Amino acid sequence: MLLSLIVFLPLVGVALLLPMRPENKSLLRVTTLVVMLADCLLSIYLLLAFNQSASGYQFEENIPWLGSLGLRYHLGVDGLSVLLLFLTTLLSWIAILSTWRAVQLRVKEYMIAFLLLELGMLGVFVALDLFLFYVFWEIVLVPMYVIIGVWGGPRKIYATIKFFLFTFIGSLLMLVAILALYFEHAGLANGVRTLDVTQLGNVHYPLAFQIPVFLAFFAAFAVKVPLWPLHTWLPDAHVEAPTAGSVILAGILLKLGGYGFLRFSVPLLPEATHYFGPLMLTLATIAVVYGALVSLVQKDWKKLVAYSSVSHMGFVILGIFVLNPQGLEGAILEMFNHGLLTGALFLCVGIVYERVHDRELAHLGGIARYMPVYAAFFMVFMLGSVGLPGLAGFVGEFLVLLGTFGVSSLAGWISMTAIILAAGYLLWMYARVMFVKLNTEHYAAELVDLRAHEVAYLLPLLALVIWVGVYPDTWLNFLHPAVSHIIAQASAAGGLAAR
Amino acid sequence: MSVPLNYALALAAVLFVTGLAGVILRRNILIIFMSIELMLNATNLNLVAFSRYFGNVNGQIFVFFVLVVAAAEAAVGLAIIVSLVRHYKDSLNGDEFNLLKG
Amino acid sequence: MAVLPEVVVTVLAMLLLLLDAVLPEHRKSGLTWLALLGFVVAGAFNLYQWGSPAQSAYGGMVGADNFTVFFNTLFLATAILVVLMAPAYLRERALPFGEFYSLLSFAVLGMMFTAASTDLISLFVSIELMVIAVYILAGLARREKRSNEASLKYFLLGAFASAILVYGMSWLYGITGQTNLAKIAGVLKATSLDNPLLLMTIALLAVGVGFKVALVPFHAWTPDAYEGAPTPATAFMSVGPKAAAFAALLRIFISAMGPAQPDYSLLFAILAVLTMTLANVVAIQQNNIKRMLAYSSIAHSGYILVGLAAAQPGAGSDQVAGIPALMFYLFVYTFMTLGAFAIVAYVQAGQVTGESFDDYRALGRRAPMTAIAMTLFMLSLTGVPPLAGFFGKAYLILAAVHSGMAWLAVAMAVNSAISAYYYLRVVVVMYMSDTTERVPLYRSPFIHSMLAVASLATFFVGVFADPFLRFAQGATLGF
Repeated sequence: MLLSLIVFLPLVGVALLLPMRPENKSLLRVTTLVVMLADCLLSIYLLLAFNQSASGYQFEENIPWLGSLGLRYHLGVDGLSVLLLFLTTLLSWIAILSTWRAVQLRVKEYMIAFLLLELGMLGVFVALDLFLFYVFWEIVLVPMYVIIGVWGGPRKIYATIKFFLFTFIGSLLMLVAILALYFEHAGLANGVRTLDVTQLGNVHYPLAFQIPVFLAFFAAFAVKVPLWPLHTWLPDAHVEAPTAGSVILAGILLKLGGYGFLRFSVPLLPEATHYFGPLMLTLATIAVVYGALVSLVQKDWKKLVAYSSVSHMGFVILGIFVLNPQGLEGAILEMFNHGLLTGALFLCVGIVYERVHDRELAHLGGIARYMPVYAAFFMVFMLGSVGLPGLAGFVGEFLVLLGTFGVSSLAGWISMTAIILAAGYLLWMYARVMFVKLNTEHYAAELVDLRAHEVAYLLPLLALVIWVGVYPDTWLNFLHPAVSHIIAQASAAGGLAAR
Repeated sequence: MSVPLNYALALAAVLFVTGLAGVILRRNILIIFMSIELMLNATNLNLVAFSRYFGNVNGQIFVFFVLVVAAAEAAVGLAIIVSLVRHYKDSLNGDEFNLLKG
Repeated sequence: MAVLPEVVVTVLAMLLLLLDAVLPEHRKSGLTWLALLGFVVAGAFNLYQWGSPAQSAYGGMVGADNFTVFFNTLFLATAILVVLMAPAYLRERALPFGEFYSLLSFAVLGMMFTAASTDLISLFVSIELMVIAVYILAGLARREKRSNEASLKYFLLGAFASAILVYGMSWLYGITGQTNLAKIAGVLKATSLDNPLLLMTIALLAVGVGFKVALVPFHAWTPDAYEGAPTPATAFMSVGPKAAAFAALLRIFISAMGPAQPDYSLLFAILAVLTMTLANVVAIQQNNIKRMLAYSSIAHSGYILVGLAAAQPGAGSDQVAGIPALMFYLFVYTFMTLGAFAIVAYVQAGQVTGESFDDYRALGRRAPMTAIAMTLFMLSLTGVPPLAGFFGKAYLILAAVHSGMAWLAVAMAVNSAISAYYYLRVVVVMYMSDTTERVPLYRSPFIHSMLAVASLATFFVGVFADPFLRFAQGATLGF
């Protein structure tokens, strides 16, 4: 029941909010925050109660749902989902806190949208029935659409439609593929109709079937990641989204794609994974370098961070498709780190934007003089994102590169340049915004240093960034059984293909 | 001597196609309406011919119902036409009824 | 007694007609309650018959089995929801209550008999009973030019379609020598399917019914008729007669011509793709919300037709066959479409038309609950989980994939994505644009309860889909 409780606790929040008066904004905010904090505590409890050495899924719940079609309400977590679950509950309340003052319009709807969003994301990470997974996957779409569309910037309608169509087309193709998998499995397993991930993996599908299914999954997951060249919705969505929307978008929504690849594409379609492996590595390498290069020339602060996400998520895909333990563990850890770091960077951008309502890098400068505490926080997150040893970003990228060199040193060397480029654009951005002396007197009065609630949400992120950087084993230990299971599934079929 | 089945079917087909063409080509709504009636009567001829050919009465029963339905359709249809013509000052040209872009 | 629900509706229709003539004007609103009572009683009798062995009546002309119980439930639910949505609109526009309800009852009667027909003759007469009543419903606002024009176009189109349909039926009779559907199937099973006359008959019947369910390319006048008719009548037309026409389609093409399925499966698959694609593309360009919903309803005909293309006659108990998917989708479609039209009727209060997208500006602020309901309907029509529309579409896609037509499933998926554009436009207008205008909205307990029922159904049929899936599956065991 623990997983159901975690997933559906936000619904309790919605039920609490519905009868409240829309004018009573602080009550609405506090209620949402309390519910989300409670959810976060539950997920921390889950982390502690999770057995790190056991393989397979834990805390399983398995009851019939659409019984007449053999579809089940099957939840469960392994090390991979536990980490992402924790990240989701953490970033959710941080996101709410970050727009404590910025959002004054339609607070009630805003809070409800975020609660539903959290529900959908949590569901995606724990669903073990593909159909259930799909339902949660789509639930995520609507609140995000509303959040950008209602509380977004000036070009929000263009951005939302683009976001919606990109992701919706991808996921509908995935639906067709899921249903094809349903019948293919039934055909191969004596007519057993199921979409249970634990059972789907026991069957060997022919390569001619795996390829189209892999492509359909790719359409859904690669858009979400987003993998070059399907990334074009991301900068628009980020620029128009409110800060909290960006944090969730970068911090968690992008992880849904990576999670999808890890949970479904690689284990269920191992031969297609091998078949498309070189292509995926190429695309990922391009994404890594492309994102970094484009970040270099951005004039908008938020867009710069958005494009850096394309680069970082490229590392994740790289790590997944090198198909060795270092790469996979690195990819998962990189997802976790990216959630912390890019989330934090968006928060930092939002903090300044909330004060001066400007994100043009050319207009900003000398902020460190007015906001020293902020500058310190920001520096740690920026350096973490650069990949400085001792901070979170380094561990993930290092492991991914380690894995990549084991497979293709060319991809490794090319990706390596992206880290240098990242140092370039992030340090330049930091120097530009924090130190360059500019005629900033006109907004100096606005630049008050961090408020208590801002410290309150940056501090846990800071602690985690350092923790992961200094002692990554705490987190990697969660991953070993899950990763070796994925590798086993992927290579068992690889062996078959070789034979 | 009896008329072969094919003759009746061919006549019915000709009537049906005439009606079909009338509906598609003519613009006067009364003529369109009459063309539809022609199509129904082609059906009746078909049914009667088949009924005689098979020697069962189902087809003839069907004809009675088609006749009744045609009468009911005529009653309702003419009422609708009358009501519309009042608005359009005595025009029966279907092309003029273009308030709804179609 | 097999036809008890039909008898109740007949009595109701007569009673409404009589009372309308004798009641004084100020007491006519009581007719709403009478109509509701009648439909609820008929519904209760109907549901009571679920699971009882199949019976027949009128010398084998009509039957009563789970299939008819399913469709009767659908039709009576439609009728009840339309009765709930209508009073506010009718009063506002000074349209006659009694005539509306009694015509509605006659149309529902025709629909019920359509689903129950086991003979070509009764099938034809039932369809005509339904459509003739609907012609008049469309033209009920006879002082409005638009309504007259809608009625005329719908009439000419419908009569034309009927003529083609009945000509096709005469050929079916000619080929088999039978009018009883089961006997026709028996004869067809024993004969060769390469008969060119059979192909022609299939074409004639498909065109005839194609007009009735507004398939492309036989859809031309549908949007006009939908736009011009009084909104509650439009709502009814887009759901009731369409569902009945699909029932007729099942009766003709599965009950009678099931053995010829390989001949027409591809035809319907192509028609389905044409219909949904064209309707969706045109719907994007609409600025009138009623027209947009009309095209949306055409597109949904296309989706539903996928079920027939993927049907596997004889696979009745197989849960993924196309027929239960088709029927489940009709069930889902009823609630979301009626809900959307009810909101159009609601927003139209006190306005000349109230049909353009601009009339929905900032509805999220002006009427929060209504806007939430509309959002729910739009998302469900788009096919976003966990709403009912999603499960409907997923089930149809499932059936298409199962019958080996993955391309059809992909076409449907792509079309859903296209349709998202115009459905979301309504949501965008309601929440993301502003207006200074404050148009008053109705205060009618009827329409509010109707919206509540429709939105709850749209939500719960989605989240707890299983009993409803079983309902649809149980209704097709006869095939």
